[in-house]
Amino acid sequence: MSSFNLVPIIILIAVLLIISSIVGRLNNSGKKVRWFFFGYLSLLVLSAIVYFLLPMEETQVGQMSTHEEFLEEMDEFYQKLNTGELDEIDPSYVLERWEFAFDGDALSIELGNQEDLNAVPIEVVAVEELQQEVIATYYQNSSHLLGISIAEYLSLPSIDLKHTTLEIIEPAPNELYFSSFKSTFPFRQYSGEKLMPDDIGYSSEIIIIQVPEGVSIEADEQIYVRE
Amino acid sequence: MSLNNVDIKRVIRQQFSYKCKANTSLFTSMIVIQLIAVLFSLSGTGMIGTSIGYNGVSIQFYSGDIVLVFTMIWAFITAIMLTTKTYTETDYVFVANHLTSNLSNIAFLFVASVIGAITSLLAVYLLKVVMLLFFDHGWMAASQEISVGQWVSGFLTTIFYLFMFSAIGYLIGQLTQRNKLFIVIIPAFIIGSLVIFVGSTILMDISQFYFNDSSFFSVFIKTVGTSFILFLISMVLSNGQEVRK
Repeated sequence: MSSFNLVPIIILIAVLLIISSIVGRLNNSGKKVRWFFFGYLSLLVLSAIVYFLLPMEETQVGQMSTHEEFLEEMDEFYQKLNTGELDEIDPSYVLERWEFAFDGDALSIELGNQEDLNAVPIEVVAVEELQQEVIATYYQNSSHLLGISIAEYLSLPSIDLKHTTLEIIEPAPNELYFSSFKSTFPFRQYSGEKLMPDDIGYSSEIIIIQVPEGVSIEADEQIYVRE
Repeated sequence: MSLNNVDIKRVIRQQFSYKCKANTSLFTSMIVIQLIAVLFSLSGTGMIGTSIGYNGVSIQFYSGDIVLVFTMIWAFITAIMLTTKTYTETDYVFVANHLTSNLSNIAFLFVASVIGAITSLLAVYLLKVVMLLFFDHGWMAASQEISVGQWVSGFLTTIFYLFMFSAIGYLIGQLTQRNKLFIVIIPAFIIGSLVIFVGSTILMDISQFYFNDSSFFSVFIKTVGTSFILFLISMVLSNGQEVRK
């Protein structure tokens, strides 16, 4: 997502050196200084034109949504989760789904390399309708940063069924870098926008493992098994 | 020669016009300062981090704050320079007194503030274009949408802030012209205040008073009122000096 590039800094330093040299040579003679000033003004106006012509839709990440919308979504999501209405959950919350054929009587669930125990909660649910199948679903009700969904950039765990053991392996460390432009402070003063917002992101995620009813579960203590 | 025989407005207009032409070199320093500010702004004005699921997420914030602050410093220094002998000498190309000299300086500083505001706002686009073209970042929430009214208020406020900082500089310049001891006293006072008021809320309160007010009318009264008072004190101080040193 990010690559720190030294090229623009080197270019800008070179530009500054050139400008300093030009300023020195101008010797503050009126006409040349005026040309220099109008040259700078033209550069700024050109930058503004280029900025508005740049395809920002492609450069920006995701779409805007509000905090209130997120709270509403979260309420609805957990209500359906708690009442077992998994089929009613908005399909857009499903980031990944793993389906495995399973005909055993006992299932062992292990966390392969989970270092952060609080990373993502895992819950096992027995489903009456489910036959000879184990389904693991990674739900995320809109991970929002500054009101924008970044779900597509997130690394997810890998889940695999080996014989009667379901193994959940967390992904390699993943650091995502984003950038955001803010208005200059006299403008923020009136719009109420903050340079550093109090809340930058809201996300709620959970892995639900659906097993056929009657299968006995042996799981790590971090995994919650619904009775 | 008495000014009774001369049209004051005409003298001020002539002096102002002359200063606009003669002091264009002051704007070359503004250009260099703004470009340095753009360079500094490339490292961002703030960063915040969180974690989502198994992912660490960082957001770097960019703004034109550094460009504007540097332009304020330029306005402050420019105003001090206008009170120095090199610049005051030019006043006497015309029939002048302290009143016309000060008023034409204030008019010039106002125009400089307008130019500083326009260029510092446009310099933000230079920063944005450099960032977008050369940095491979995921850009998000470019900025909160602001209404036309908020934009106009923000632009005018930028001018008022620059003008107020030039008024502070002009007063300091006049003080140092009146007595060279102020060259030592003023920096000592500023540094001393910063040391004494570390941990106190006084500096924060002053900054909040001007920069955290969301009413344009109130900001207008505060900034223009402060500028008026500072310029008035400067004019009174300069009247106590000889016409030409």
